[in-house]
Amino acid sequence: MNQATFSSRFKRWFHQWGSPESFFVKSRFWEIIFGLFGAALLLMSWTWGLFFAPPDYLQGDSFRIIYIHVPTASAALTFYFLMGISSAIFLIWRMKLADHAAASLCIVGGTLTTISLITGSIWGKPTWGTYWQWDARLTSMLILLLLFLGVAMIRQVQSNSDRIRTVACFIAVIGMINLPIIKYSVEWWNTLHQPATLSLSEKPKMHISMLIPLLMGITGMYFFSGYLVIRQTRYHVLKSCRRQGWVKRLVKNGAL
Amino acid sequence: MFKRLGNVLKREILLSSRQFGFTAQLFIFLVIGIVLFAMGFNQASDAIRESVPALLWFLILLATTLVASSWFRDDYDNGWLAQWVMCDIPLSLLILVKQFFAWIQVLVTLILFIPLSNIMLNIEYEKPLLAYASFAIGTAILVQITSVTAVLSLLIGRSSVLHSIVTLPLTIPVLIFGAEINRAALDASSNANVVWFLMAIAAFVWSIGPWTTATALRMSLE
Repeated sequence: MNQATFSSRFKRWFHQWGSPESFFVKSRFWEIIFGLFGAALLLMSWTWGLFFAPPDYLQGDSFRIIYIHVPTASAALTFYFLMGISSAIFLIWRMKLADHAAASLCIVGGTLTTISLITGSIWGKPTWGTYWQWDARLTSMLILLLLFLGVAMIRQVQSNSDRIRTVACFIAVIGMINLPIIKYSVEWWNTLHQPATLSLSEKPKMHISMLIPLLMGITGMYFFSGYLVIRQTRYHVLKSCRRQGWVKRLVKNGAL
Repeated sequence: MFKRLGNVLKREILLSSRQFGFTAQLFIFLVIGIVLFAMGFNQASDAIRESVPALLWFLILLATTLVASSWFRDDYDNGWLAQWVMCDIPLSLLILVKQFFAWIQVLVTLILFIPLSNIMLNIEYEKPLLAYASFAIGTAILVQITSVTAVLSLLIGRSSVLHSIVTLPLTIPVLIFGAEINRAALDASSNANVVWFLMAIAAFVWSIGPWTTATALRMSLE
């Protein structure tokens, strides 16, 4: 295959997925696949992690919260990145679908960050003796949550205005540039002021019987939150296109 | 084109020399902040001295974000910004001029405020130059960050709380490094290499900031 046909194929693929109607029709299949696969993996990971994995030699059974904490934290970071990318796509090509995706990623990502912060502080009580420590990683996760909240609050101002969309996407992109700077500044501040008495990176190396359910949990969480994002995006598409012909046709045919 | 740029410069100089409202607001806000903070402390304790660097930087961040939402408001309301977008001078250059004068205004306020705060809070810097340099560099970064969000807040409307919520998380590096340098300036024995970090961020932000603000402005006037 030569270069020209490949790029034209890619363009066609991109435009087909970009149009609301064909996205709505095509994403149905992927929504189901993501949802089922993610739910199955999560169930397997949690059953394995809660009942079959051996207790940790230091922390006992309390370490089992890792099977919720680490997958949500990892997915939250990735989802902020994805939100920045789709916001940039909206700003450059003015593609409505990218904005809907960014809005959905913002809600799901914010929820994931909240869950990971809450489970982290619950985990912190038995292991560190405190719910909250101004540790570098905790603080930068909190800032991530603040960035998500800022973008979500802008979208709350007026849900169906093109200007508000532009502002929210712009803030998301700026936040993406600023995220590494914030991360490193927080790490610096932390290492200068509090010697790392309690560090996440110093935990003992994991045994394979604990690692496999964790990896399954991470993969499952990505797929399941991907399912939530697709679902939310479909809802946004339907809401913004509710007066258009293809939606009316779908309703008439009973496809909805 | 250069003649027109000269005219823009002349206008900005005139405006910033005649608008004392901005400087006065910023100054009074900072003073009130310090007074209220000090009133909450037990006068006999020494705790207030330890919190000085964090307090000063927090107040400066808060004050700058609060006044920044009005930087572009007047020019937006009377149509000046719309003319900027259409004229043949690069928009980012005009924005740079605007930001430079905003920074000068913040600096003038700080020149008035810092000696006063030194007296009010009993601060004696071991390395005063270092502390003053950190204020100058830190506010330079703040001007860039807040002017991007100020242009965007033109679109949202007059919601300055939302503007602060969005802007403050982005200014965290300035708070951390600025307070760090202040602490180093208070204590002669400590190391102040962080100042290079702050300078690096300032260089980065001033090189991409005008362009980013110009893009945001173009989008907001579409």
